Amino acid sequence: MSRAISSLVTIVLAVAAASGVAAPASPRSAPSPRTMSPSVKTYSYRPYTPSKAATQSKYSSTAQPPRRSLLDGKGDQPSERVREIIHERESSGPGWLGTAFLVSLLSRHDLSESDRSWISGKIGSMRAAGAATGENELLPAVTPAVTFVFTGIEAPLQVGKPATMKVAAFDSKGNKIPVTCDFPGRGAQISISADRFEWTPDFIGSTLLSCEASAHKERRLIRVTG
Amino acid sequence: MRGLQRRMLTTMLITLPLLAGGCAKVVQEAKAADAELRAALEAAKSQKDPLTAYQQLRARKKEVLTNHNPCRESGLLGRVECVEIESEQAFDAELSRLLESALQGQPTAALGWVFSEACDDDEKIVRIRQKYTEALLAAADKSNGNAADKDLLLGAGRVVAKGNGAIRNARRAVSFFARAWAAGAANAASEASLLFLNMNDKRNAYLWSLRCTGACRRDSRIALDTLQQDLSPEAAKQAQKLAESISVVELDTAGGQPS
Repeated sequence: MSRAISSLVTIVLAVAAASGVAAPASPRSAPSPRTMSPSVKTYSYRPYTPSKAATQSKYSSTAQPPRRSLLDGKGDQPSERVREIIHERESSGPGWLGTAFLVSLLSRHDLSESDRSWISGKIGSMRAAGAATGENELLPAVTPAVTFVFTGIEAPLQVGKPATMKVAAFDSKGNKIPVTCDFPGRGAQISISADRFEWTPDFIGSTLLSCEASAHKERRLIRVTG
Repeated sequence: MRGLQRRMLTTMLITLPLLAGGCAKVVQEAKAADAELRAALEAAKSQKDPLTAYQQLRARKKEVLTNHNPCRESGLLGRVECVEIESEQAFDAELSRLLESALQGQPTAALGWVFSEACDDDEKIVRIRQKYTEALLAAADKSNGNAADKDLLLGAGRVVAKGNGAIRNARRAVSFFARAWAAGAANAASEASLLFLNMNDKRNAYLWSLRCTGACRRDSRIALDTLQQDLSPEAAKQAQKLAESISVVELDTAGGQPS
């Protein structure tokens, strides 16, 4: 009996060494060859480890503890979703949000009526108390230093058909200033005279019109269809 | 002791066939995978277009390896052992040959494929990219911007935006993304938006995120509500108006004044 057990132990250990525990394995990585038997080759692989994410945003907001919160105080509170938005904004910014932020919240499409009512009420009470609008927190609309006005490029051009395009540039006081433009890579095909371009496109696709006035540049996409 | 011996013997008699059976299974899986890969190689001979043949074979190999796993974990250390698939080396050699042939013969389409997002996790293709970055950018610069070049232009924008094998240049990247967008590349608008966001230009990030419509996949970082929160209502409306104009590439705020 003992000899039978010893023999079986030897066989089991040999098979275990050769075949191991049968279990599904993760995807393969780099191999180093090792022969298991004359007829079957096996490779040993390192356990699979996933690579790092291909893209990581460089944008990061600075987290600071809020000094005050829009949610402070007694009374009704908005929904959990709006509370999350406010907490997130307060922890990533200067810590105090003014009425301008609340006004921008009102433009969201996913607000319930009760949330809208809360936000409107909050704006009202803050303004009544003389609270700052916090306008410095939000990016304002901008009037560029030089305004370029293009005509004839809003609709796609037609291949093979002559097109006339115009451009004018104005400074911040509204004075017209000289402008130069070119089509990078297509200069030989374009007739440019003062602020007027005439071009008969000979391909379907798009190109960029690049203009400059008073050291300010603007690019416009011009499409050509069939 | 006799009782213990009897239990040991019983355990071994049960374990032995299981161990032997596990080894046989992975060998069978390898053989089945081998047969399917050989069949795929044979079928690919009738495909005249090397790029299409390459794409079909690559997808088929992925399918075969998903359906047949010739590997298993061994022992307590988590080491993985695999049985070799006999035809795999020849299969991979054919894949390389087809891709090289495509890059030589149909550079535009092949370059667009090699530099597409679909190949970002393919180590072999990522290595090939280094060799063809210059060719990609040269082809993109010469491109007429027609629909056939949309992936080429998008790939060129991604390379220059990230600075992978080329000098990072946001202005140049935006040019490629804008033209890719005009040519119909689904994710060109989201790529442009992410580029502007990474440069802390939220106005233009918002403008391009507005253009991410239809099949365009919008990353959570450029969700419209998230970007809009940092803009005044007037700034949001300004960007919305500009986004509707198909010729606008970006809002230049250098030297500008709040309006």
